[in-house]
Amino acid sequence: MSLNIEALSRAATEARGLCMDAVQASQSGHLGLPLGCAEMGAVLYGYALKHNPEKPRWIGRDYFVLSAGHGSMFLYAWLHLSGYDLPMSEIKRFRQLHSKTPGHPEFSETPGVECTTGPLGQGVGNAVGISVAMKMAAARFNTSEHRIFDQHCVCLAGDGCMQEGVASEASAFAGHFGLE
Amino acid sequence: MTQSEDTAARFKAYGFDVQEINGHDMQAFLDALDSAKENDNGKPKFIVAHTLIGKGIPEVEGTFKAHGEAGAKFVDAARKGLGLPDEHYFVSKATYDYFAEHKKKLLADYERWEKTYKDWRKKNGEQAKLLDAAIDRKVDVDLLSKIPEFPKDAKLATRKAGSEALQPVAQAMPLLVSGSADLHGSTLNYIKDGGDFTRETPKGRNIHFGIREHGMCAILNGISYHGIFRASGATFLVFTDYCRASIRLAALSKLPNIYIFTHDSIGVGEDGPTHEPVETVSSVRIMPQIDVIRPADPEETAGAFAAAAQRVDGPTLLALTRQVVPILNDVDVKLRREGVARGGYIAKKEKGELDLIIMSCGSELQHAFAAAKELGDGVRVVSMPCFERFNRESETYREEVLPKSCRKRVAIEAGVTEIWYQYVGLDGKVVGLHQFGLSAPGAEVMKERGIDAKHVVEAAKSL
Repeated sequence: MSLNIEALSRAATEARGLCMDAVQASQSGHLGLPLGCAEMGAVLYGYALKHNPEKPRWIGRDYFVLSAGHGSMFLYAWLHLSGYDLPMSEIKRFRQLHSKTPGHPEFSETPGVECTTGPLGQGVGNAVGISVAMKMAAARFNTSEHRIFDQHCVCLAGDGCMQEGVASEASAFAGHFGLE
Repeated sequence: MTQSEDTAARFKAYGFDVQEINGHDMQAFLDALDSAKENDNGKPKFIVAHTLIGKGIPEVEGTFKAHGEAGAKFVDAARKGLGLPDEHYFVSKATYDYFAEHKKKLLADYERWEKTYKDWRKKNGEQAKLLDAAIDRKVDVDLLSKIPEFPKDAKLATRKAGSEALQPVAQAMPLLVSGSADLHGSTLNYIKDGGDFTRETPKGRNIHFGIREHGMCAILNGISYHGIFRASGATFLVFTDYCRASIRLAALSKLPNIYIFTHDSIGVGEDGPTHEPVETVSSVRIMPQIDVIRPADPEETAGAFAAAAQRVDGPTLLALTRQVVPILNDVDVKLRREGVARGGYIAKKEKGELDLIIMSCGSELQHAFAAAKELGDGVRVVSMPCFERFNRESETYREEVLPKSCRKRVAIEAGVTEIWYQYVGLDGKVVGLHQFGLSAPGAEVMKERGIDAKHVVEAAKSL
């Protein structure tokens, strides 16, 4: 199937708008990543990722890790558009007390957020760990008849993540163990 | 200003398949993703997506200023430039409709999967039960009862006792995996019969992380975030500092990781101060939401492993000795094992009126006992393997163990002293360390640094 470029471009533009509005309103936050990666967000959430906004913890989902966690509005915008339980009222409360849209993504605070990220490079290691677990789960639970674990882990990491030593350690591990 | 390496070449060198694309070209990104997913060549995939940071705000895009909120003041113009209406938080009906339609497809895919899953459950009842318990993070086994008692004449380091406690725990928890940062031979946390995790044997339960402590802990977090396996990893305790950033996130995210960290004090000895934790144990104790358990003997070690495995609302760090510790047969086995779960307990009750409390943990508890013997009847010995657990106990229990009426208190630990004052109070004294260790046989280092019963007696007499 081919991409609906028109619809996804419109979504990318509007996602940029949401990020700008939220950062402007809170007078803090990070615009660079959500704006720079809007097209990739549109492809991931508007087409490529296997997930279920009604059941964020579905065990068969693809996992998306935003290692560059400061770009949290990227996640919130796409989770909102995808239909997760993250209404616009929460986007409007970006970075405010007890909102579901904290400054950096926090595990178990927001449906669809897989990891607490922000300290750069950590998400790369988390993604490698998730991939280890996926490989183990497939080996332990899939049968010749049933492939209940058949999924991917996608990690969005920035230049800052690449500079952190932990990304090197985790990536060398991933290469050595052939984590596809 | 700071980066000029060839990232693509770097990741090729790690063994990744690398593609380079324009990150604003949606079709190119999708093609790269698809080929990454389809290519089963045994390599992880890396997509270098060249993007313009802050794209959409012409005044800052492509510059370092685009990273944070510096572009916010140009937002009104930028929104216009993108063709967005004046209404803030604008999402068009067309976009909501597109995603609503896409969601229908996602739900249909899910339903297809669910059919397979239900069929799998029907035909694999035991596995399904195991998976359910794992997802709910349920540990419905009395783990302590699975760990055999140690012989009364056992002469073991707590790391060795840990190795023996781990085996039945691992047997009772088939989804517990364990790894070591190239130190299985020293940390002794290898799951016997668990096999090694390799490319060819992904069922293996022992993960060889290599000398990558920080990577190990970030990967353990990933395993826990995934949500099915229980993750544990090991290294020398002094390398907690390499791991700290990831341990902190595990604590913040309440991940039930188990850190099996050995060589926990200046008792390490010959390797010297680079390898001897002094401030490390207490530095983790002050981190919120993580339990640090430093057991004193093999039976307390059994209790520590059971408590760590049974705790599912946060991580636990087990601090274990390199050196042999005496088995504390004077204290009832059940008390030693179950006392750990409460964090602190009366290991030896005074005879007659309570005059002095000596508290300790880990390899120094033996000195508390020796000093108590010398100091006479009114002395109580409190074993305090886990401050966090003790502090979660009821006020009544804490008062029972450390009654306010007794202000003569001494603590001893081969580590920095500050954190003990919450229990020792202004009138008490702590025998501990105010400097780094030394390179010499462990027992000599302990003696040289004054970690022994003699100093406890002196401190008590000075009160």
